[in-house]
Formats: sequence, C-alpha cells, structure tokens
Amino acid sequence: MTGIVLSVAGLCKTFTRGSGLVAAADNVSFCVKSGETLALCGPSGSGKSTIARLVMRLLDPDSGRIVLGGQDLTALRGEALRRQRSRFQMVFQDSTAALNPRATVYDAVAAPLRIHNIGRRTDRACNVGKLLEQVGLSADLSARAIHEISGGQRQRVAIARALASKPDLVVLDESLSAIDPSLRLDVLRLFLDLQQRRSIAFLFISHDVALVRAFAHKVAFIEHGKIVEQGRAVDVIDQPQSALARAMIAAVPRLKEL
Amino acid sequence: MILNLVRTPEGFVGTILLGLLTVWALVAPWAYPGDPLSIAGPALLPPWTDWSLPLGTDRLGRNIAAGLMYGARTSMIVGLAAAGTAILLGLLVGVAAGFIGGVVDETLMRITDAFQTVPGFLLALAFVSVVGPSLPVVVLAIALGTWPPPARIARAEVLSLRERDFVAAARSIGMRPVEIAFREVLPNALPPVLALSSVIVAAAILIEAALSFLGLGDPNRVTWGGMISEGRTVLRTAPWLSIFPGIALVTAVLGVYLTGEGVVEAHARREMLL
Amino acid sequence: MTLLSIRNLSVQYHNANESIPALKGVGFEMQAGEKLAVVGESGSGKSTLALTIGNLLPAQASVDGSIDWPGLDGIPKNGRDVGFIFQDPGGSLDPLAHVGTQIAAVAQYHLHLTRWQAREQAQLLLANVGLDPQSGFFDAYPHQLSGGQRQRVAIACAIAARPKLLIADEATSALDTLIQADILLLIAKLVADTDLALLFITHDLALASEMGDRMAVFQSGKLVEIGSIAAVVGNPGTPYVKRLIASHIGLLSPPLVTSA
Repeated sequence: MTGIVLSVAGLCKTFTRGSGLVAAADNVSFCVKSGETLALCGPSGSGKSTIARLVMRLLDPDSGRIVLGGQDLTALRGEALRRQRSRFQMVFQDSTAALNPRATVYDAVAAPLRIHNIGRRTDRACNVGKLLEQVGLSADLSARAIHEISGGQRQRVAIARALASKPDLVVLDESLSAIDPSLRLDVLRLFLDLQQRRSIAFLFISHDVALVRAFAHKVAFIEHGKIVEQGRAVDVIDQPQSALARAMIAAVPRLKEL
Repeated sequence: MILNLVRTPEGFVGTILLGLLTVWALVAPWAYPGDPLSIAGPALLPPWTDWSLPLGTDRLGRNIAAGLMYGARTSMIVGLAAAGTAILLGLLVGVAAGFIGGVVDETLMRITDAFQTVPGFLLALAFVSVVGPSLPVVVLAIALGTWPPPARIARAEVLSLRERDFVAAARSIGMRPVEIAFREVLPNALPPVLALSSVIVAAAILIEAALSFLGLGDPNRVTWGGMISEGRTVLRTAPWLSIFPGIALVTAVLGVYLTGEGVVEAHARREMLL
Repeated sequence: MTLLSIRNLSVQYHNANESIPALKGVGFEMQAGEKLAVVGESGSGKSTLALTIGNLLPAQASVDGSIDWPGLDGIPKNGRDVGFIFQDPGGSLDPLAHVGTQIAAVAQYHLHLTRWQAREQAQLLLANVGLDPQSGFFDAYPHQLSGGQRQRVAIACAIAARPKLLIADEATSALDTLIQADILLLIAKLVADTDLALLFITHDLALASEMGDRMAVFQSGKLVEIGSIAAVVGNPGTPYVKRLIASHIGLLSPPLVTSA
C-alpha cells in the first residue's frame, strides 16, 4: 500500500475525572504515510495513550474521524470492525500484562491467523515458527507458556503477534521501554527492516525524545490532548519551538563523556 | 503439583484420607458383591464377632461394612457431581454477569441474591420434597443451594480481569467477545473459584447425608445419612449402627477440607518462591 | 573517609528446586559524601546489590563475603544510617496515613524527638522536597498525590533521620521524562547540601553519567568495570561496556531513518 495509511481528523475525547472534565484528545489531526513512522510525544497525562487507543478503536471518540487506507473506522461497529482489525495492530507497553499468562506462545501468535483465517490450518504451526524467527526467537519457543519466558522474549512474542496478520499500521505504545538498552537497537532494526520490506506505517507513542529522534520520521508533541508542535522529527527536536518540546528535550539525560 | 500438595501437612493427611475413601468406594463390588440392602445375617449383630460381617449388622440384618463401602460411592458421587454442577452454573452466571454488564449483570445478580438468601439446605429440602427423591434430583437440589458463592467470586474476578491489557489486546487482534470470555477471561477467573470447590464438596456431602437422614435421599441406594437415621431408634443398645457411618462421614469431610487446604497451601508456597 | 567497604560479596536466592546466584564476588568501596552510579541491565544484580546494602534481602537469600561500614560506629540501622528510595513511588507509603505523619514518624523514631518536634521537622522536610506544607500536603493521603509527588514524599522519609547513605533503586524509572528531571534535580540538591553519600541504581547509562562521580557497571551478577565517569565512558575497558556505550541512543546519535 502506498500513500496515506492512517488519517485522523478532529479527534475529540473527554473523560470525567473527579471534579471536572479532562480532555484526553482535543481536536487532534494527523496522518501517517505507508513506510513512515509518526511519533506522538508527550508527558504522562498528555493523552497520547488515549489517542493510541482511540486509533485502535478500543475506545469510542466523542467526535472526529479515523480513516485507515480509505476505510472510515469510526463508522464501523461490531463484526464489520472486527474484520478490519487484521489491518491495524498494537504492541502494548507491558507484555506481561498484554498477553494471557496461561496461554502458550503458539496460542498467542496463532490467534490472529486463526481469527482472520489467514493461511491453511495445516500450515499454521509452520507459519508461527516463521513469525517467531522473524522477531529473533527460536521456533521451539512455541510450546512454552507465556509466564515461563523472560520479559524480553515476551515483548518479542507480542511483536510477532502484532505482525501475524500483516497489518498496514502498527501502533507501538511505549513498546521499547521494557526492553534492555543493549537489546533496543536490535528491536529497532527489526522494526525498520519490516518497515522497509512491507511498507508498514508505525504510530510510535513514547516519552523518550532521543528514541523518537532516532526512530521516527515525523513527530507530534502533545500536551493536554492538543498537538502543540509537529513536523520532521530531526528538525523539531534539534530546533524546538514550543515550550513543551523545549522542556522535554532539556530533560533528556545526556551521556557525559567529554 | 500433586507432589507439592503431599509435601504440605494438610495435603498429606487429606490425600491419605481421600485415597482410603476412594479405594473403599471402588472396592465395594468385589468385597461385598450383591445388593448391600439385602439381608446378610442375623439382626443387630455386634461388630467383630463374625469376620464375614466385620462391623456387625443393622436392625434388618444388613451388612454394615457393605453399607459403608457402598455409601461411600453415593457420597462421593453426590459430592463431586453436586459441586461440579454448582461451580459450572456459578461460573456461567458469574462470567456472563461480569463480562456483559449492564442490565444482564443486574438481573443475574438479583437472581443470585434470591437464591443466596434461602439457606442451602432448606432449598435442597424443598426441592427434593416437591420433585421426589432420586440421585439426580438430590444432586440438582444441592447444586441449587450452593451455586451463588462461585457465581459471585467468578463475577468479581471477571470485573477486574476485564480491565487488564490482555483483554484489550485480545479485542485489538479481532477476537469476538464470546471467544474472549471463554478463552482469555474464564481460565484466569477459575483459580479462586476452584479454591472454593473443596468447601462445596464437603457441604454437598453433608447436605446429602442430612437429606438421607430425613428420609429424602434416594431410597434405592445405601447412604451414610440413611444408616445413621436407621440407628436412631437403637442408639442405646446398638450404637455401632450410627457410629460407624458417622465416623465415615467425618473422615470424608475432613479429607476433603484438608486436601483443599493443602492445595491452597501448596499454591501459596509455589507463588512465594517464584 | 571510607564510608562503605564491600569485599567478595556473593548473594544467592534459594527456592525448593535450586539456588540462583544474583551477585558473584563483588568488591568496591564508597567514600563519605560520594555519588556512585550503578549501571546494569535486567539480571545484572544491581537491585540485589541495593537490597543487600540496605539490609532488605528476603529470607530465602544467603549472603557470603563482607560489608563493612568504617564510616559508622556499629552496624548500620535501617532508616537512620541508610535511606532507601524504591522504584514504585507510592509503594513504600502507608495508604491509610497522612504523608506528613509518615515523615514525622521516621524523624521521631530515629532522632528521638517529641511528637511536636517531629511534626516541625516533617514540615521542613516537605518544604525541602518541594511540597509546600502550607498548601495542605502535610495532611494529604498518598493516593491524592501524583507519582512525582509521592516520590518526593518517599525521598523525604528516606532522609528524615539524616542518614549517611541514600540508596536510590531505579527511583525515576516509573516517572515520565519531565518529572524525572525534577526528581533528579531534587536528589542532586539534597546530596549537595549535606554530606550524604548517594548510591544511584539505574539501567540508563546517560542518567548514571549525570548523577554519579563514579560509575560501576554490572553484568550477570559481576562487577565488570568501575571508575570515574570520564574513564568508564570515555575509555571503556571491557567489551560489554563498549557495547553498552555503542548501543546508547542519545540526542546526538545519528537517526536510524532517513526522512524525506
């Protein structure tokens, strides 16, 4: 698929919290092209996770449109929406919480294949093995239970599962924060490799500005549900205009070597 | 898992007791072939006088030892079947209520309240009196009185599991709600419900004994409750008629409770070391 | 003056099936008032080190080797000589007590103050950590505060008895970048104002280089390299440390993508 994969226009969502209304998304609009990564960057409470869940249609927006490759997702409900889900997937932050602890690795990765009838049933075990190898895990891991494998392995299983249905868009919700720094580069290179080969669009939610600068093509800084600055990642981060971007960039710890 | 269970003191004793009872129940047709309700010897024979009738006979001359062994079958069948039915019913109601929410949740919970306000034994009693005594009816009657606690616990677990990320993740890969409820949520809601199972089995055995004691058990089967009831009139002269089935009842209930405690303890120990 | 001297420290966790080594033959020293940053990934043993020094290991752990405190007279007492800040901001606070009362309790117990003196001390501490006691923070419950505010309370509790060593075990990992920066500034200020020594545990290399005078790198339970920041970062001696530095992603690293 080429061109614009995800187009979000005028997204609004408010929650009642305690004494008043909190705007998690306030007239948010952005788009992501195929083969491109857009990062949503902001402090906790800025609404970036809520926007991710709105895009994934796990929450209903109060108003606004979400269009995925020409299909208006906001207008879909129930079975029609479920059928579209193979085209957009999410990797959650905490893989320990995001995978059924009692399931096996095979169950987790094969689920999207089974639900959307991808591939023949007889080939399924083989396909699962291939998906595991793609994310750098051995195919023998299929039989192990989720709670038996390490945290890093769990995150890779979550990634394998997200890629199983060959989606056009993958939402990464702080997906790298649980991975050790020395392994992060490997996972990033994996994402980039897949992006180049399959033109996957990534929506990358993160509060790590250095990571965003390295990995994303474009960035949008979000505060209180509003986009305060957006543009090419390297440009915005090297020369921030908004107060929020400046503060977040100043807060990044620097490796003192000189 | 079984090994861990046996390592705990409660589990050890409980498993031995239950093991003995199971053997007791299984061996019955070989040890005493034929109908245990048939007359085997002179009436009111004291125990340990005739070795073919080691525990004596009752008022009609029926073999008490045979009665105990066949009674064990009835008690275990009823106990397990009733508990199984109660837990199944409770799970279905609890998961449906917790998962669907809204009006369905409210309705199901009010029904659960209604069943819970009536004491389990009285409910069973009323049911059997109306429908008539037979084994399936007794099982159903006991289940009717004991399903609300599993339902509540299942619902509470589902309510908390529903908010967890793996349910959201299951939705995001396109799983249908029914599949999420049974594949993802139910297996994780199961452990606390199963922890109740030993209590329910024990309660079922006791309710069955009480029903039989009142003459509302299955008349075609030997039951410990029935035997105790039979011994009421001759309690002073031939106390063994009631004492032996009484001991068997205590052993069974104790065995179930201790095994249940052992499972919980073994599970807790394993969790602590993880 | 040497505050802490560790020699050949080994820690193992025991369960029914096996013994898992967490630290193997670790040895180093800390001076009074020094800031030592401990860097390691998951499984490196850095948290076990923090718990061992802080005397907080669970019962199933066994310790070999020695930890000496030449800088203190006698065995260190938790809370009085060593203060501990955990990763979970609210986890170490009693959810049912006012935060001010909790801070005062530490001061009262270890400094042998009267209730009223301890209250005053607590109010001072709250102000010191940036929570104005006049704004009602003294009587707040932990759940009424944000993550960053809870961590400030935890810091106040940790320093209330004027310890000699403050151990921060991934104290900012659960907070977002902006709040993390504030808390780190606070810790740096508190350490600079007193003669407090700081043991700063983190998995973030850049953070370690900012917060410490010296850095110690752990891998799989072993101390692989220790030295000044300039020495370890500028001239790493071991392949593991070289790899850690090479895989670090900072604002000056070349981007991995070429954007149009």
